[in-house]
Amino acid sequence: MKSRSRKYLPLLIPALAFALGLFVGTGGAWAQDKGAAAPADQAAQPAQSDEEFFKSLIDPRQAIWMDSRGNVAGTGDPNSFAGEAFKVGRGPHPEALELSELPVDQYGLVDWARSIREGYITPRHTLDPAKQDKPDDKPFGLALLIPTKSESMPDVIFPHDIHTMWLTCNNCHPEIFAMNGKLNNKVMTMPKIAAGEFCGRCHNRIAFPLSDCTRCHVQDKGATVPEGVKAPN
Amino acid sequence: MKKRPIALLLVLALLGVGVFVFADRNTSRAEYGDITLNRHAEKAGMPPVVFPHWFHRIRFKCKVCHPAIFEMRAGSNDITMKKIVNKQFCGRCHNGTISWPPLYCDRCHAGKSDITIPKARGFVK
Repeated sequence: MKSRSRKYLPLLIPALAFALGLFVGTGGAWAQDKGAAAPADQAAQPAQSDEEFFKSLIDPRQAIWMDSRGNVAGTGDPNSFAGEAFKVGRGPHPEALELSELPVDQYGLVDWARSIREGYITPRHTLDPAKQDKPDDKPFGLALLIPTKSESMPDVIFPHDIHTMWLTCNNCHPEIFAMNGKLNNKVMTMPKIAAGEFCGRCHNRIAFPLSDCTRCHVQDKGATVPEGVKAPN
Repeated sequence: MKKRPIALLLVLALLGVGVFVFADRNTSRAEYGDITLNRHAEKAGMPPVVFPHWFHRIRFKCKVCHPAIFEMRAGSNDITMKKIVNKQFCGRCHNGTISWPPLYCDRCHAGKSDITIPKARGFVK
């Protein structure tokens, strides 16, 4: 009996190390779960919002505020936190992109088109205080059919609509795209786009990558063009 | 027969350490669309600047900054701290009114010299 317990004694140390690793590693998650569960416990007490509850947890002298990259951005009372923006409630930053819970595409990159269409985000359209309360200009709806030079690749339908939700005309015209569809179609090629011209000025850099072929190449050759899509004349 | 517990011990210890290391949630990392600015930073003895596009895009449409404040081509904006303090470039917002003032160096000067920004899959120049 004694020899048996001695045999398993060395196991105790790594087991403890493992348990310690697990405890420290998942500590954050446990703390978060606790935080999420706590307001439910408090539900019996009325007139205390989640926000108030979380504020009551913070000792202002002990609080450490993180920026978007997880670095310490400030310490102490949030009401004396740097910047007027923070005082009016635009902060603190989410720690990282994955915590913002925006919809993602097949690569796990943020699907910005869905984000703005479905109202996950409402980005501001101007810095001018006089114009801020006014709604943004309506998106320009024209969709253009851009025939491909390859027989095997479906044609592109370019939606002005989603682009003008983000951008204004002079972001692209006339510097990147001339105001002449026929001319553009002649000179635009996929290798040039991949090299950072035309669509490649934004796509593959900030906007979704070019490897997501079927997000642009949607119109099979020979199929009827949807109504409202303007074919090159 | 005697060696087995030792092997098991090692495996378990490694596993424990592994969980300890890889579950670190506070590691910050670059995202698709991040921009590094390093024309002046490292020459002046500061770490390169990392500009998180995603963070700004949640709050502002592209046309707010492009092309009036920042030209939309890498290398075409000569940004210096002096200009930022004089409310040009980042300083158009980061001046204490729209966003926090440029007083917190390490919020932007957060890159390492060997920083790698995730590139788009597929076609990469």
